[in-house]
Amino acid sequence: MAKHPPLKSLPWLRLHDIAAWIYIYPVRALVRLLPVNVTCWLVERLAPLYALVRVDLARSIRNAMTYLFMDRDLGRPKDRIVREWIRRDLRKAVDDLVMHRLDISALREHSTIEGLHHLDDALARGRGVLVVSGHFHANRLSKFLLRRSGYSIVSVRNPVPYSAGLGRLGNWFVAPAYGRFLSRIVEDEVPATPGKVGMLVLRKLRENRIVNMHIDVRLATECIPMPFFGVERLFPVGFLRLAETTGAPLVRMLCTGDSSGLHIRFEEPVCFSGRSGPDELQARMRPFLERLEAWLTEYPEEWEIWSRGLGRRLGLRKNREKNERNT
Amino acid sequence: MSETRETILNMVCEQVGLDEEASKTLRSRGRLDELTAVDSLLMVDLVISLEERFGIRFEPADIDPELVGDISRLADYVDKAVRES
Repeated sequence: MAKHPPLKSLPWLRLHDIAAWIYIYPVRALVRLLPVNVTCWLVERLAPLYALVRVDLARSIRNAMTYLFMDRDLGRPKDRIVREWIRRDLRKAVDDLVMHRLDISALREHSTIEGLHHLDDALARGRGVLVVSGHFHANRLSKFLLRRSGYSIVSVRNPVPYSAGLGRLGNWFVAPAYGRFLSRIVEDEVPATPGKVGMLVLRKLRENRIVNMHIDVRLATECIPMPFFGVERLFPVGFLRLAETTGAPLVRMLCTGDSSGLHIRFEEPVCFSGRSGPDELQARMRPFLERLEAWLTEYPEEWEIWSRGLGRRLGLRKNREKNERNT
Repeated sequence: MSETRETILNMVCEQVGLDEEASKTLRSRGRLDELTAVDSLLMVDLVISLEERFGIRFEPADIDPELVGDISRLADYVDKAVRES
């Protein structure tokens, strides 16, 4: 598990604490009173204004993109991608609030699911399925749609999300409230509790369930250095270890879009058997990261991690080695 | 000490590569979940290894970190599963 800095090192209160509290309580209450289509219409109108106001957020996302992509040509100006990212982030926050009131048949009608037969093939093997994805805005809503379409998908998630952007009060009171809110909308989850998560995932796999794990954050004890956009970074290999040990097939999943229409893409199942050594583990990991690179290049405006401490999430190998030397 | 408990302890020591002191602590206290060297993936490894070694299958409801973390309970469970298989 990634270790967080002690709360004592944070200020008592930050502006984000208040903003998060407003989102969880007054905004949620207000959204309950409004029809879903009115809420979504309002958000689409307010988003450009929000993007203009959040100059600080736009700057940090632009910096994070430069940090990862360097001078890579994305086919569009970075500023446009940043504005689109902010719009989608706001839309996702509202989609979370209205998720359980959405008209599922309308959402299904406006969405496409590509490669669903890959998921069916993997499920037919009877060993459960590990669905591997990155942190994209549309994940939560896509899993909601899949559950409503008869696919029992479980998320592995931190029960109480720590936020370095919040102060002490925010982490004490607002983050747990947000965690409870997420638990209600995620519906079926395995808490990423150290010492337990592997066993709980195994239990779900034995029930032939689908377990979703992300590969773009260091939520695991074992991480290996891998090249990512030309720089060596640390990536978790827990999902590979679980696949090797349990024989569960791995299926890559990409989710894009929002409640006006989703696009979910599943790829061919991959199976591994036997615990791999360091070189083989890297070879098994490589195709997953290459695909993550391709997804990020194609849909940079959909990747949540830009605003969530990229350096902390995707640690650089040299930082890790420096930390290990210091301890 | 039951034979199964001893077998499980040996499997754990071998899989985790415990040093002498940790191995002694594990043998006296019988708590796998107290060892920092043992993470949940190693517990998964242990469950699969036990299934292969004893020809049993853990039911989903029995895949419980509390059960696997306690060597004595785990040995009782394995013995019972072997008798019933």
